[in-house]
Amino acid sequence: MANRGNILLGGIFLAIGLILLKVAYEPHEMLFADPNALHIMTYPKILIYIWIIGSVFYAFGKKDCSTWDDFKKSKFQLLKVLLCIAFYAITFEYLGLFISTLLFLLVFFWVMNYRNRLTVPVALLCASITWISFEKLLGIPMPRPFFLDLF
Amino acid sequence: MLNDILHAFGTIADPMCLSMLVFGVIFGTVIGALPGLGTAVAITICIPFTLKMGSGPAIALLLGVYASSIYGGSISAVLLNTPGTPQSACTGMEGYPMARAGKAREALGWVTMSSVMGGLISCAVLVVAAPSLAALSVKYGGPLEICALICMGLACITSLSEGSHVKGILMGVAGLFLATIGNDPQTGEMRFTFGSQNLISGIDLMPVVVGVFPLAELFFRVYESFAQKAPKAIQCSGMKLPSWSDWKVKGRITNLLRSSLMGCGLGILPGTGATAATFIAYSSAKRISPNGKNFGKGEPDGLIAAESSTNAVSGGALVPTLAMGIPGEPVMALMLATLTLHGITPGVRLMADNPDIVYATFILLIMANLSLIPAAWFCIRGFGKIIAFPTAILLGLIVICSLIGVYLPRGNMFDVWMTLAIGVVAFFMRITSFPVAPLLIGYVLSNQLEYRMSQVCIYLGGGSLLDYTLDHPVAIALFVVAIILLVLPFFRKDSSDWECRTDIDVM
Repeated sequence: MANRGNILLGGIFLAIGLILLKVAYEPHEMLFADPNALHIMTYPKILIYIWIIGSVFYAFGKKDCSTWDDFKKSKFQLLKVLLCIAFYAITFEYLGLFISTLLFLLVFFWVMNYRNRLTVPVALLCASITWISFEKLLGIPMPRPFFLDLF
Repeated sequence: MLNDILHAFGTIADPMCLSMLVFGVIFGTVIGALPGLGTAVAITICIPFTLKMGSGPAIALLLGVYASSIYGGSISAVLLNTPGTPQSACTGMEGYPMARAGKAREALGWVTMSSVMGGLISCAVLVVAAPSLAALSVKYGGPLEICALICMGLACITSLSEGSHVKGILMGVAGLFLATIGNDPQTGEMRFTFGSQNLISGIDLMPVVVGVFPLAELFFRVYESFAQKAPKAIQCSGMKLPSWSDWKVKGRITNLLRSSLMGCGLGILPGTGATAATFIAYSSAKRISPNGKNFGKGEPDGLIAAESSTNAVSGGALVPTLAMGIPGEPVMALMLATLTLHGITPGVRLMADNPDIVYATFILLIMANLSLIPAAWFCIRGFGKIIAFPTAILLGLIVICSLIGVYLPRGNMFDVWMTLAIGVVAFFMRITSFPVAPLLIGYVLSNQLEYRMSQVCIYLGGGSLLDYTLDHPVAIALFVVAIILLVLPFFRKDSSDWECRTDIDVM
């Protein structure tokens, strides 16, 4: 039968559904549509109602057997990987494709315990291939390193 | 028609197109052979490279990857007893005992030939069925009928979520809802943007796809590395293709034809997918084959049934995708999305508007299946090196390709952050056994469904929906099928039995 995990997650889903329902019921004028057309909030409302019913069924339905033991063991590694990708996303915008990819790979390899004499050459090679493929061969415009604009 | 076929040959005769097909087949086989990655990840990695290509090379690359990555999973199933893709689990049940008995080359030969034959039979079905289905769709394709068809596609959500159908429905609704954020497609008015400028144009497809597949897979592999030990591969340097006398053994050719047609038929039905097709074909062959008692001990009949049905799904699954624009499985949703990025809209008008593209697709799929044999030689010889490839480098490259793929279509960093958020949520959904495939199917079909619903309302003009529906018997039939598809899995007794045995989440 239902357990605390189900009720908690089902409760979160239900809360999300109710918040969205509140937004959907706020007045929205249909300015440009055919008078017979579906109101812009009718379709989302149908979906939200199904979501709410599903959440209730989930909360009080069959017990979820998911275990969090493996997650507890790997949570720090997962966090490091996540931060690594976030770091890539930040540097990508300011340092451009080549430098950000190189930095990301060096940090990522370190986080993933890939540390040997090949680490730096492999990172350099991968970053170069990425840069050549996307910027030179495919000619795709990428963010420019900020320091190039200073001169 | 002959003119269209000649035009299609002209499109694929381009050296770029052929080289992309060859590259796609090799790349797909390699990625498919790496346990855990699978078809969806392989295709997602390729999407950024296709954005600057013409439609011909892009389709060649994707079809090459699609056809070969399913097959690639079977190599690791035979040599490693770890299926590279969920659909290769049955292959492992027969192929691994055969390889353990010193017949790895023979097992890989049966796997390769059965895959190629299954794929070719499904191509024949695709060539016949897709144009007929498209013609039928044009004849009966009113908004209500299309609505019913989309509902049929959505009903498959419950069959994609073995274990807990409620979870599947919740994920499907989440996908449908995600697509409503931003501009309303008809009026241009804003919904659920919460004042954010970045949400005005909605959540793009690429962040959803990349977040749900490669990024969640990356997190899952990091998570799994703490839970599992690396398997050891059986050494094998080649394969021995079965001779004609091997095929002539009683019941083998019938088994091949039956399993291929079964795979193809189940591929056409939305939601069943290659995993279900394989297990159904395998269990039928076990019941019918004169060597049924040897199944599970390294019986070629088992390999033929599993492999031919798995690869036959590829052609079958393309039938509703090309003819009606309705993807029956997540990989097809990805293909559909990529074709749309190239300005090709699969659906009832595709046959009339771009017949050359349709015929080029048929020819490319046939060529991709034939290319599996040389790709198999290459991959089997280097299999030891492929699985020894450092995970850190592989995952690093997946992150780079995925994030660049997300950034490219709109040049917007918001999409990258959205991908990261979706990836984290999809990872947690995966470890709590929420199926992620319905989310993607829901997302892809949502706009079409809403648009058609609105069309129905306009056609009604304030009249009765019941009267309007009663005038459309085809739509009624389709709605009934959709309801059956939606409800049936709730009543199927312990339907998850055969899938649980694989211990792999159906992606």
